[in-house]
Amino acid sequence: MIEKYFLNVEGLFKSFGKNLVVHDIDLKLEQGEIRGLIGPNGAGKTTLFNLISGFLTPNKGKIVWQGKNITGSAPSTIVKNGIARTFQLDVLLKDMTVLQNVLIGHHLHVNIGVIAQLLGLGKVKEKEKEAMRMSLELLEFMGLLELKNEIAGELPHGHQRSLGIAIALATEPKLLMLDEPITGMNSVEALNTMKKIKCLREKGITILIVEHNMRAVMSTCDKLTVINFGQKIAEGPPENVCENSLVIEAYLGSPDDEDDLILC
Amino acid sequence: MQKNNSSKFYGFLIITLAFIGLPFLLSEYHRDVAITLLINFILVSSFRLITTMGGWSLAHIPLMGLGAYTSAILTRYYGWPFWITLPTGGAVAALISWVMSFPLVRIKGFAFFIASFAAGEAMRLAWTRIRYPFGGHRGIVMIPVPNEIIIPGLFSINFYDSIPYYYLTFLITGVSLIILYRIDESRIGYTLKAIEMEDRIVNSVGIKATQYKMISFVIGAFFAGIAGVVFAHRYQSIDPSAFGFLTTLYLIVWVLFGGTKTFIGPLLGVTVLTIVQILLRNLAEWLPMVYGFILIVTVLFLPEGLEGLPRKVRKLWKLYNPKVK
Amino acid sequence: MELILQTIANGLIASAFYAIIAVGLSLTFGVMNTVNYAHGEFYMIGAYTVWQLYAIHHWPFFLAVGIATILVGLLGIIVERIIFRPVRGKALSSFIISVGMVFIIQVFVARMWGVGHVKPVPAVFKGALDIFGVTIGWQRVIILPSAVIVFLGFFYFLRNSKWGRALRAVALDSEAASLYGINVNKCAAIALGIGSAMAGLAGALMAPIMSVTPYMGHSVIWTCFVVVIVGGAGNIKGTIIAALVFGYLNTIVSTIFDSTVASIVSSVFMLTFLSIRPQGILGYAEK
Repeated sequence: MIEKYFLNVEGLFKSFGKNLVVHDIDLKLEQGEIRGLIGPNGAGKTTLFNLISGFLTPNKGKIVWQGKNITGSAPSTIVKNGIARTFQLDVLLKDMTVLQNVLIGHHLHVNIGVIAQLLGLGKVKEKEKEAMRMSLELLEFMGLLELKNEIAGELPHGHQRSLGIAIALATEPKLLMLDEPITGMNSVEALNTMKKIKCLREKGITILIVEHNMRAVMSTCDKLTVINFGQKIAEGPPENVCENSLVIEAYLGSPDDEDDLILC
Repeated sequence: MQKNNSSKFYGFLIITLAFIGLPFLLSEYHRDVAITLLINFILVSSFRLITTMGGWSLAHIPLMGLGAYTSAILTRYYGWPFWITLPTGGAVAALISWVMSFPLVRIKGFAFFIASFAAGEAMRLAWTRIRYPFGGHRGIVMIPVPNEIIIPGLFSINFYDSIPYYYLTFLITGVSLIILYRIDESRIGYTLKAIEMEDRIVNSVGIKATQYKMISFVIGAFFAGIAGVVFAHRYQSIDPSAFGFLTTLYLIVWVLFGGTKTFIGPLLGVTVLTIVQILLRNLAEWLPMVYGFILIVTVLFLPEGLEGLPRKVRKLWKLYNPKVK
Repeated sequence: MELILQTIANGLIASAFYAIIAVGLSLTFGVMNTVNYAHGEFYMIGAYTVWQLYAIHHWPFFLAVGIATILVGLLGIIVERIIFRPVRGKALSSFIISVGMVFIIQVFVARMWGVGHVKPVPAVFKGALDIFGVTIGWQRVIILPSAVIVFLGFFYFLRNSKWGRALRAVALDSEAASLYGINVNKCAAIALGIGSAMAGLAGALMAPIMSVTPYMGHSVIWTCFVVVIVGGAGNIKGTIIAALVFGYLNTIVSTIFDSTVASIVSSVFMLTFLSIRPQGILGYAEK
């Protein structure tokens, strides 16, 4: 059978002890789309990210990426295949400079084997130069170029977020998974970042976003997937999902109070 | 940037010239101390390479011993020349450390400490237990010095004397330090530091952390082995107690006192403490106590070691002279 | 057959001995996440106290043991305040700082009472226990009931007393515990006090059959570290199980070969075990 989806997650289960965190989730991404993954806190979104990116192994189910079963592969293998991710908290190489962070991100590009690197064989220098050029380009794209020699841990939160995206982009992904990319940013920064995310799609990168800022999600995503208590409760274009009673209930507890939905 | 680099270069040049001139200024005893210091340079720098990935290996000194034993056995019993056993000693230490690294790189934090100690100690105990070829408790004596270099009609170099041996050690140390420095400044060095800092990022960009940890462990062991070979052929006798836990502790004191953030830190640490050791020569029994105080004071007040001292002084200076900028 | 029974008995005594020292070590690790390398020196000080009081001044043996235990416990509390409090929660720093302490204590003891000569402590209980053809000196036998009493008391304390429960809470999550109003500093002092007292007790009880030297702690501390790690650092029950495993492993291999081979086998066993199960027998979490 020819796989018709770019990423096809089927019947995924994950439990920690007795806690079933991801319960029979399907997720099908098409190439070139921007998909929003939303749901209340603790719904299992980050766990799903961890499962797809190989940081966790599912108990059941499979993850097929471009027709290839990658269930249970190591994170490094999955990145190599073109799925990159960012982290929710400001997980960065905090004592290194911004530029060094992105250079480390280019590991796969430069990687020609440790022994070769040690002996300076092959095209190490050339590749390092290329990595440097690409890193600077990336920093410029993310608006961090002036900050390249700052220590990453000392940047304001918004910039740390952008740096996280830059690191993920350095792996030259085909699918980029962003975990709350604009949380902690002010509205201008957030708007800029969402623009950049659209711009990435123009460059042919498929994007999966977890984000709480509904306005940003609604305006950017082609399609939304809503999960609650580890289960998928709705999927479709943003307008439709927003009117889904299950979704409203999940977010508000009861359909009476509609304050939060003004965000839509 | 440019200026910084050139001042670095001049600093390097001055120190190198100082070490080249050094043996002529020293007595025979102090020349031996200088040789030991150079050997210790290799030890602390290779140890630092391992610490950059976050593991403080307590197997480093036993691996140095392995290099020493390898070379001693091959030269003494099998007549191999020093020039071949030198790399062989390093290679055997690297090989065994590679085997050790399989469990070790999977263990983190404090358990790594204990496990690396157990690995090193098991090896060391094996030497005390096995009479042939390790010589049991008494070790190996009458290890030959490196073969004489004779260029007919011109000159010959005899390594029984301390000055030629000093220069031999200087050469080996120099080459080792240059290689270790280049590794530290290379992508490998940065990757190792990144692994210690945040392994989630490292994993998420496709780096196989275990592989890098193994590499740093093995390279570190190779140079420890080299240091062991140079040590064995200077003192011409080795025994298991020389590579015991006390020596490991000294190594930790040197490195910690100097600081591990920069390449120069551990070298500074071992140099200063060697000078302290010379000054306290008459109080040898009290030396461990002095080291003990230095350790406690370092951990409590100078957690970054000597290399952090300038920053600390600057901070205090600013605190008391708020107007000066 | 008799050899097997003898080995079983010897192994039990060795296990009890390791367990007393290792549980103290594990307690400090669990509560404070600090690694006390000077634990072996506390054991040594316990032995020296008994030598001083019992062998030199002829005080009653059990009085000397009691004083040694309390003395070492107090020493632990002082050391917690001065040395360990600033590095609490940092395994590496605490290890190194305690190494510094070991240097100082060893030199101090060596200068005070001299090196080289083993301090003779006459046996308190002459004769040996003979059952089923097994012979064990009475002096060794007393470690067994001592260990049982200590552990029963200790578990009772952990489960039923206010401070015992506080210790367990701090071991689980010290930050949360302090939010609930538990005095973490006091808990750390209690943990180190009890932990050190256990080391002191073991040293005091074993003084008559061990060679009392400034360096006697070294031979014990590493085995106990191994026991603590394999048991699952900070896990008391795991530590006791691991003490049994290594006590028997050591005794059996020593009986067949010698103690050096036993150390090698223990090390290799530990490495193999940890590469399969890095979190130890019972894991870190269950306390």
